[in-house]
Amino acid sequence: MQADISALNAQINIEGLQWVARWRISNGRPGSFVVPFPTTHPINVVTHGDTRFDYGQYGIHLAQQDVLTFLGDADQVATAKFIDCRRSSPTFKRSLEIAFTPSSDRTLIVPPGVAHTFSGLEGIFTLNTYAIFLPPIEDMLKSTLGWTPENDIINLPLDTDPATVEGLVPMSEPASNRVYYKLADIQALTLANGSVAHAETRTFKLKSGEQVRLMLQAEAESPSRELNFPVSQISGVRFEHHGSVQTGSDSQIIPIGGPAPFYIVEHGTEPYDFDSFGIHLGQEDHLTFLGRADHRIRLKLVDMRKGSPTLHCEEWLEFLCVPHMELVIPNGVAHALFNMESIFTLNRPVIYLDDKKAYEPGKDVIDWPLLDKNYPIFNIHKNPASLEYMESLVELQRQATTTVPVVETPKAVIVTDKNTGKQVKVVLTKQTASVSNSIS
Amino acid sequence: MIKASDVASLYEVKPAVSDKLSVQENSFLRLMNVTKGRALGVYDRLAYLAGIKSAPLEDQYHSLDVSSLQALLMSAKKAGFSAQVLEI
Repeated sequence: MQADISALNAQINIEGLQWVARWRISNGRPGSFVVPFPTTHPINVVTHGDTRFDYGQYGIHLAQQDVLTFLGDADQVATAKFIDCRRSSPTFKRSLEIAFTPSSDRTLIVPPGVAHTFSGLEGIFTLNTYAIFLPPIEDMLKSTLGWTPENDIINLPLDTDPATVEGLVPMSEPASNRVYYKLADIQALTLANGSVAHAETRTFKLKSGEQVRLMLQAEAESPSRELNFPVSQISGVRFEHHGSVQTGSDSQIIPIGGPAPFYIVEHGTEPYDFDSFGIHLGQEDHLTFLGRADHRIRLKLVDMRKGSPTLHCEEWLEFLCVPHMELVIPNGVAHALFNMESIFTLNRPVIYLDDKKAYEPGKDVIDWPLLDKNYPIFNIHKNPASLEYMESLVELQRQATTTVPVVETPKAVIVTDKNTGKQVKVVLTKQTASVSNSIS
Repeated sequence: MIKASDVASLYEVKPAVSDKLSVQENSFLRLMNVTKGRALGVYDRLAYLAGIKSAPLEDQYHSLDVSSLQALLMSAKKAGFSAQVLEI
């Protein structure tokens, strides 16, 4: 893996532009992985539809570092082009074109001030765990900034000659968590009613020869496909609209706010059905499914929550893979997904704690046999985890991802202790057959 | 007006500023202090924060009238765009 990253980075001639390895753990089947993203910050999922997709221009941010993980068919080749537009960069005006394939085991970092564009992204989902930078405090204390949000979407034509680019001064100071949380709040408020259209800047040359720069925003089309989503009979199970920013007829940006750390499950390309129900006591799943728009997913649910009005209600649901819809499964509701091959599941859960305030994400799962109808009843956790708790969880996850993964995702079963007659949970872990990734 | 110490809290590495200093809000600080009622109106301007970068190859702008700024704004409106002049 590290050799792969090194080979990719050897092609790169622009300062700061780089691929980094992403820690992931085997999910017990060939080509299937769990990929944690230890962050409390909002992120974006970018979809590109299933037909040919090329960006028509370069994009440059001054305040945002793109951190891009490309998810899709590992055999598909996409192309990226870059121009270093940073005036003070040692590689100012240098350009680069690279070919790459999507993979959950690496991430591309595009520093602010580096123009970038991609082609051949159809069928690929881009996960952007971006970083925000601010101007120096001396500038921020002025009533007029040299940089404004409006000016941060700078677009350049694809045929731009790198030798002619004007030097830009990107932001340099990393923003605090407060900035990210405010952004997540604003996104949640503004997108609560559905979708808005993508805005972009464009320079027009008037007949007089004058140039004028406009920010243009089309009216968003109202998405209709979610109308066909099933309604669950189980209390609390629901599909919700994420809210999205349309960038084209089949493409959109879907902000996902958090603040819980999230993870991706890559299910691989071989047939993939759950072999048992999964139940969480402390984790309300918020699932976004990434895959072909005509891919149908089947879901079996059983309510196992003590005191629930729909206790032991069971049902089958079937739905299409639509990324701007989110499936919410409350903690204590057993679930098993079928037909998951070639699907990536993004789970940004809401976390609840027990009275001891203890929670370990990797161990908060109970497996229950699909055919065992002697359904148990669980006491679920009900205390919402605080932001501080989530931040400490992120720190623990970051530490964990500095070590080489040696076990697969755990399986937890309920068995009876013959000595006491009580049911206990046993967490089973298995050594990985081979180390799937390493961070050096 | 906003306290400089509040501004400093926006930085991961908090810069040293005087506790007594207050400054006028700029566009970014207004954004950070936006209230729920005002949030709907500011999102357009926050495009960068939504991670928006380049547009797909669907040039919808060829048909716009560039004979003058006024004609451009009018034709953009007719084509269903909201348009904001950023600089001339």
